[in-house]
Amino acid sequence: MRKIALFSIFAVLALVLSSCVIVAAPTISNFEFGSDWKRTSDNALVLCSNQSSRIAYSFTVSDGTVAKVVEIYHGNISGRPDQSVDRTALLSKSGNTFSYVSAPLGFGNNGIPQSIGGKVSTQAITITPTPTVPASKTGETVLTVQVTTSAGTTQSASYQYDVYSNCPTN
Amino acid sequence: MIYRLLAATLLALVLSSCILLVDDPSPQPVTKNPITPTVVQIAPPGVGSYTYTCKTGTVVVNYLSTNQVRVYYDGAFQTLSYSKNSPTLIYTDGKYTWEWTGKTGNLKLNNQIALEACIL
Repeated sequence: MRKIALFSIFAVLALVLSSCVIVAAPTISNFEFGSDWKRTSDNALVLCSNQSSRIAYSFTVSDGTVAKVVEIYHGNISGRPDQSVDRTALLSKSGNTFSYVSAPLGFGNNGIPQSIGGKVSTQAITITPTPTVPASKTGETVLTVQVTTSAGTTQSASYQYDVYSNCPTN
Repeated sequence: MIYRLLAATLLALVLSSCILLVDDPSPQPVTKNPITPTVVQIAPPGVGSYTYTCKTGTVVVNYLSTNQVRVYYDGAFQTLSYSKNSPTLIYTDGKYTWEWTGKTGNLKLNNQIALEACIL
Protein backbone atom coordinates (compact mmCIF):
# COMPACT_ATOMS: atom_id res chain seq x y z
CA MET A 1 0.00 0.00 0.00
CA ARG A 2 2.80 2.32 0.94
CA LYS A 3 4.66 1.44 -2.27
CA ILE A 4 1.61 2.28 -4.33
CA ALA A 5 1.29 5.67 -2.66
CA LEU A 6 4.96 6.40 -3.24
CA PHE A 7 4.68 5.29 -6.84
CA SER A 8 1.68 7.57 -7.31
CA ILE A 9 3.55 10.55 -5.89
CA PHE A 10 6.49 9.93 -8.23
CA ALA A 11 4.14 9.49 -11.15
CA VAL A 12 2.41 12.81 -10.45
CA LEU A 13 5.74 14.51 -9.94
CA ALA A 14 7.01 13.14 -13.25
CA LEU A 15 3.91 14.42 -15.00
CA VAL A 16 4.24 17.87 -13.45
CA LEU A 17 7.93 18.12 -14.28
CA SER A 18 7.41 16.91 -17.82
CA SER A 19 5.14 19.89 -18.45
CA CYS A 20 7.84 22.33 -17.36
CA VAL A 21 9.85 24.12 -20.02
CA ILE A 22 12.97 25.53 -18.55
CA VAL A 23 14.02 28.70 -20.42
CA ALA A 24 17.50 29.96 -19.62
CA ALA A 25 17.80 33.71 -19.99
CA PRO A 26 20.42 34.73 -22.55
CA THR A 27 23.62 36.02 -21.04
CA ILE A 28 25.48 39.14 -22.07
CA SER A 29 29.20 38.93 -21.52
CA ASN A 30 32.69 39.84 -22.70
CA PHE A 31 32.24 43.61 -22.65
CA GLU A 32 35.29 45.31 -24.10
CA PHE A 33 35.97 49.00 -24.65
CA GLY A 34 38.34 50.74 -27.04
CA SER A 35 39.73 54.13 -28.02
CA ASP A 36 42.17 55.71 -30.46
CA TRP A 37 44.35 56.85 -27.58
CA LYS A 38 46.00 55.28 -24.60
CA ARG A 39 48.09 56.61 -21.74
CA THR A 40 51.72 55.54 -21.83
CA SER A 41 52.12 55.16 -18.07
CA ASP A 42 49.44 52.52 -17.58
CA ASN A 43 48.00 51.81 -21.05
CA ALA A 44 44.61 53.12 -19.92
CA LEU A 45 42.28 54.05 -22.76
CA VAL A 46 41.82 57.83 -22.92
CA LEU A 47 40.28 60.46 -25.19
CA CYS A 48 41.92 63.58 -26.62
CA SER A 49 39.74 66.65 -26.91
CA ASN A 50 42.06 68.32 -29.42
CA GLN A 51 42.52 65.34 -31.70
CA SER A 52 40.28 62.88 -33.47
CA SER A 53 39.03 60.48 -30.79
CA ARG A 54 36.65 57.58 -31.14
CA ILE A 55 35.24 55.12 -28.67
CA ALA A 56 34.56 51.48 -29.40
CA TYR A 57 32.99 48.59 -27.56
CA SER A 58 31.90 45.02 -28.10
CA PHE A 59 29.96 42.35 -26.20
CA THR A 60 28.65 38.85 -26.70
CA VAL A 61 25.03 37.74 -26.33
CA SER A 62 24.52 34.01 -25.86
CA ASP A 63 21.43 33.82 -28.07
CA GLY A 64 22.80 36.30 -30.62
CA THR A 65 19.92 38.77 -30.32
CA VAL A 66 19.93 42.42 -29.36
CA ALA A 67 16.82 44.52 -29.04
CA LYS A 68 18.41 47.73 -27.88
CA VAL A 69 21.80 49.27 -27.09
CA VAL A 70 22.01 52.61 -25.34
CA GLU A 71 25.14 54.61 -24.59
CA ILE A 72 25.03 56.83 -21.53
CA TYR A 73 27.70 59.50 -21.14
CA HIS A 74 28.43 61.01 -17.75
CA GLY A 75 30.90 63.84 -17.25
CA ASN A 76 32.53 63.59 -13.83
CA ILE A 77 34.13 67.02 -14.01
CA SER A 78 31.75 69.13 -16.08
CA GLY A 79 28.69 68.21 -14.06
CA ARG A 80 26.56 68.29 -17.20
CA PRO A 81 23.45 66.11 -17.31
CA ASP A 82 23.99 62.61 -18.62
CA GLN A 83 23.41 62.13 -22.32
CA SER A 84 21.93 58.98 -23.82
CA VAL A 85 22.15 57.77 -27.39
CA ASP A 86 20.48 54.75 -28.98
CA ARG A 87 23.07 52.87 -31.07
CA THR A 88 21.04 49.76 -31.86
CA ALA A 89 20.86 50.41 -35.58
CA LEU A 90 24.60 50.98 -35.92
CA LEU A 91 25.89 47.76 -34.35
CA SER A 92 28.02 45.34 -36.31
CA LYS A 93 27.46 41.63 -35.72
CA SER A 94 29.86 38.73 -36.05
CA GLY A 95 28.46 35.46 -34.72
CA ASN A 96 27.06 36.24 -31.30
CA THR A 97 29.38 39.22 -30.82
CA PHE A 98 28.22 42.77 -31.43
CA SER A 99 30.51 45.76 -31.80
CA TYR A 100 30.38 49.48 -32.39
CA VAL A 101 33.03 52.05 -33.31
CA SER A 102 32.05 55.69 -33.16
CA ALA A 103 32.91 58.47 -35.56
CA PRO A 104 35.24 61.12 -34.09
CA LEU A 105 33.64 62.48 -30.95
CA GLY A 106 32.89 66.10 -30.25
CA PHE A 107 33.83 67.80 -27.00
CA GLY A 108 32.89 71.00 -25.22
CA ASN A 109 29.42 72.30 -24.49
CA ASN A 110 27.87 70.50 -27.43
CA GLY A 111 30.23 67.60 -27.12
CA ILE A 112 29.95 63.91 -26.50
CA PRO A 113 28.03 62.34 -27.98
CA GLN A 114 27.38 64.37 -31.10
CA SER A 115 28.70 62.12 -33.83
CA ILE A 116 27.10 59.27 -35.65
CA GLY A 117 29.19 56.17 -35.72
CA GLY A 118 31.00 54.56 -38.58
CA LYS A 119 32.00 50.92 -38.74
CA VAL A 120 35.77 51.06 -38.77
CA SER A 121 38.48 49.38 -36.75
CA THR A 122 40.29 50.95 -33.84
CA GLN A 123 43.96 51.37 -33.28
CA ALA A 124 45.73 52.54 -30.19
CA ILE A 125 47.91 55.60 -30.54
CA THR A 126 50.43 56.41 -27.83
CA ILE A 127 50.40 59.84 -26.23
CA THR A 128 53.87 61.30 -26.41
CA PRO A 129 54.11 64.39 -24.23
CA THR A 130 55.79 67.33 -25.90
CA PRO A 131 58.43 69.22 -23.92
CA THR A 132 56.70 72.61 -24.05
CA VAL A 133 53.02 72.06 -23.27
CA PRO A 134 52.50 68.51 -22.11
CA ALA A 135 49.22 66.71 -22.55
CA SER A 136 47.11 67.28 -19.49
CA LYS A 137 44.08 65.53 -18.08
CA THR A 138 41.21 67.97 -18.22
CA GLY A 139 38.15 65.76 -17.87
CA GLU A 140 36.60 62.39 -17.17
CA THR A 141 33.85 60.79 -19.22
CA VAL A 142 32.18 57.62 -18.04
CA LEU A 143 30.61 55.63 -20.85
CA THR A 144 27.96 53.11 -19.85
CA VAL A 145 26.71 50.67 -22.48
CA GLN A 146 23.31 49.19 -21.67
CA VAL A 147 22.31 46.13 -23.69
CA THR A 148 18.84 44.58 -23.84
CA THR A 149 18.32 41.27 -25.63
CA SER A 150 15.22 40.26 -27.53
CA ALA A 151 14.25 38.09 -24.55
CA GLY A 152 14.33 41.16 -22.31
CA THR A 153 17.57 40.49 -20.48
CA THR A 154 19.37 43.73 -19.69
CA GLN A 155 22.96 44.20 -18.65
CA SER A 156 25.33 47.12 -18.68
CA ALA A 157 29.04 47.84 -18.41
CA SER A 158 30.93 51.07 -17.86
CA TYR A 159 34.36 52.46 -18.64
CA GLN A 160 35.86 55.73 -17.49
CA TYR A 161 37.76 57.54 -20.20
CA ASP A 162 40.10 60.25 -18.91
CA VAL A 163 39.96 63.20 -21.31
CA TYR A 164 43.20 64.96 -22.26
CA SER A 165 43.97 68.33 -23.80
CA ASN A 166 47.16 69.24 -25.67
CA CYS A 167 47.56 65.77 -27.13
CA PRO A 168 50.28 65.74 -29.81
CA THR A 169 49.45 65.51 -33.46
CA ASN A 170 49.96 62.04 -34.79
CA MET B 1 3.69 146.84 -68.23
CA ILE B 2 4.00 143.37 -69.70
CA TYR B 3 7.77 143.81 -70.05
CA ARG B 4 8.04 144.75 -66.39
CA LEU B 5 6.03 141.69 -65.40
CA LEU B 6 8.21 139.42 -67.55
CA ALA B 7 11.38 141.01 -66.17
CA ALA B 8 10.18 140.55 -62.60
CA THR B 9 9.25 136.90 -63.29
CA LEU B 10 12.60 136.25 -64.93
CA LEU B 11 14.41 137.86 -62.01
CA ALA B 12 12.42 135.76 -59.58
CA LEU B 13 13.35 132.59 -61.46
CA VAL B 14 17.03 133.51 -61.63
CA LEU B 15 17.19 134.43 -57.98
CA SER B 16 15.45 131.21 -56.92
CA SER B 17 18.28 129.20 -58.47
CA CYS B 18 20.94 131.16 -56.66
CA ILE B 19 22.90 129.74 -53.81
CA LEU B 20 23.90 132.36 -51.39
CA LEU B 21 27.25 131.85 -49.85
CA VAL B 22 27.35 133.87 -46.72
CA ASP B 23 30.21 133.99 -44.33
CA ASP B 24 29.50 132.17 -41.13
CA PRO B 25 29.06 134.61 -38.33
CA SER B 26 31.56 134.56 -35.56
CA PRO B 27 31.59 131.05 -33.92
CA GLN B 28 29.62 130.68 -30.77
CA PRO B 29 31.33 129.12 -27.78
CA VAL B 30 30.43 125.41 -27.49
CA THR B 31 29.77 123.85 -24.13
CA LYS B 32 31.48 120.48 -24.05
CA ASN B 33 29.89 117.62 -22.22
CA PRO B 34 32.31 116.43 -19.59
CA ILE B 35 33.65 113.00 -20.51
CA THR B 36 35.16 110.94 -17.77
CA PRO B 37 37.15 107.90 -18.91
CA THR B 38 35.84 104.70 -17.35
CA VAL B 39 38.01 101.71 -16.62
CA VAL B 40 36.85 98.62 -18.53
CA GLN B 41 35.89 95.93 -16.08
CA ILE B 42 35.31 92.36 -17.19
CA ALA B 43 32.59 90.53 -15.33
CA PRO B 44 32.77 86.77 -14.70
CA PRO B 45 30.17 84.65 -16.49
CA GLY B 46 28.36 83.94 -13.24
CA VAL B 47 28.52 81.25 -10.62
CA GLY B 48 28.48 77.80 -12.18
CA SER B 49 30.48 75.26 -14.15
CA TYR B 50 31.47 76.01 -17.74
CA THR B 51 33.15 73.81 -20.31
CA TYR B 52 35.36 75.87 -22.62
CA THR B 53 36.57 74.68 -26.00
CA CYS B 54 40.10 75.91 -26.57
CA LYS B 55 42.51 75.71 -29.49
CA THR B 56 44.12 72.54 -28.14
CA GLY B 57 41.41 70.93 -26.04
CA THR B 58 38.69 71.55 -23.51
CA VAL B 59 38.79 72.79 -19.95
CA VAL B 60 36.19 72.98 -17.21
CA VAL B 61 36.10 76.20 -15.19
CA ASN B 62 33.92 76.34 -12.12
CA TYR B 63 33.16 79.90 -10.98
CA LEU B 64 32.61 79.56 -7.25
CA SER B 65 32.16 83.31 -6.64
CA THR B 66 33.49 86.57 -8.01
CA ASN B 67 36.62 85.94 -5.95
CA GLN B 68 37.36 82.30 -6.71
CA VAL B 69 37.35 79.80 -9.56
CA ARG B 70 38.30 76.14 -9.85
CA VAL B 71 39.99 75.02 -13.05
CA TYR B 72 40.33 71.29 -13.77
CA TYR B 73 43.82 70.79 -15.18
CA ASP B 74 46.58 68.23 -14.63
CA GLY B 75 43.95 65.82 -13.37
CA ALA B 76 42.87 67.94 -10.41
CA PHE B 77 40.84 71.00 -9.55
CA GLN B 78 43.12 74.01 -9.19
CA THR B 79 41.60 76.70 -7.00
CA LEU B 80 42.51 80.18 -8.22
CA SER B 81 41.82 83.50 -6.51
CA TYR B 82 40.72 86.78 -8.06
CA SER B 83 43.62 88.98 -9.10
CA LYS B 84 42.20 91.80 -11.23
CA ASN B 85 39.42 92.55 -13.67
CA SER B 86 40.97 95.11 -15.98
CA PRO B 87 41.75 95.00 -18.82
CA THR B 88 41.04 91.29 -18.47
CA LEU B 89 39.63 89.22 -15.64
CA ILE B 90 42.40 87.24 -14.01
CA TYR B 91 42.40 84.48 -11.40
CA THR B 92 45.64 82.91 -10.28
CA ASP B 93 47.38 80.88 -7.60
CA GLY B 94 50.83 81.82 -8.81
CA LYS B 95 51.28 78.66 -10.85
CA TYR B 96 48.03 78.47 -12.81
CA THR B 97 46.36 81.57 -14.25
CA TRP B 98 42.92 81.76 -15.83
CA GLU B 99 42.37 84.89 -17.92
CA TRP B 100 38.94 85.84 -19.32
CA THR B 101 38.56 88.72 -21.76
CA GLY B 102 34.79 88.59 -21.84
CA LYS B 103 34.83 86.62 -25.07
CA THR B 104 37.79 84.27 -24.88
CA GLY B 105 39.91 82.73 -22.17
CA ASN B 106 43.47 81.54 -21.72
CA LEU B 107 44.93 79.17 -19.19
CA LYS B 108 48.56 79.72 -18.32
CA LEU B 109 50.88 77.39 -16.49
CA ASN B 110 53.90 79.16 -15.02
CA ASN B 111 53.18 82.11 -17.34
CA GLN B 112 53.24 79.82 -20.37
CA ILE B 113 50.08 79.38 -22.43
CA ALA B 114 48.64 75.93 -21.80
CA LEU B 115 45.23 76.45 -23.39
CA GLU B 116 44.35 79.45 -25.52
CA ALA B 117 41.41 80.97 -27.35
CA CYS B 118 38.94 79.18 -25.08
CA ILE B 119 35.31 79.90 -25.89
CA LEU B 120 32.04 78.80 -24.39
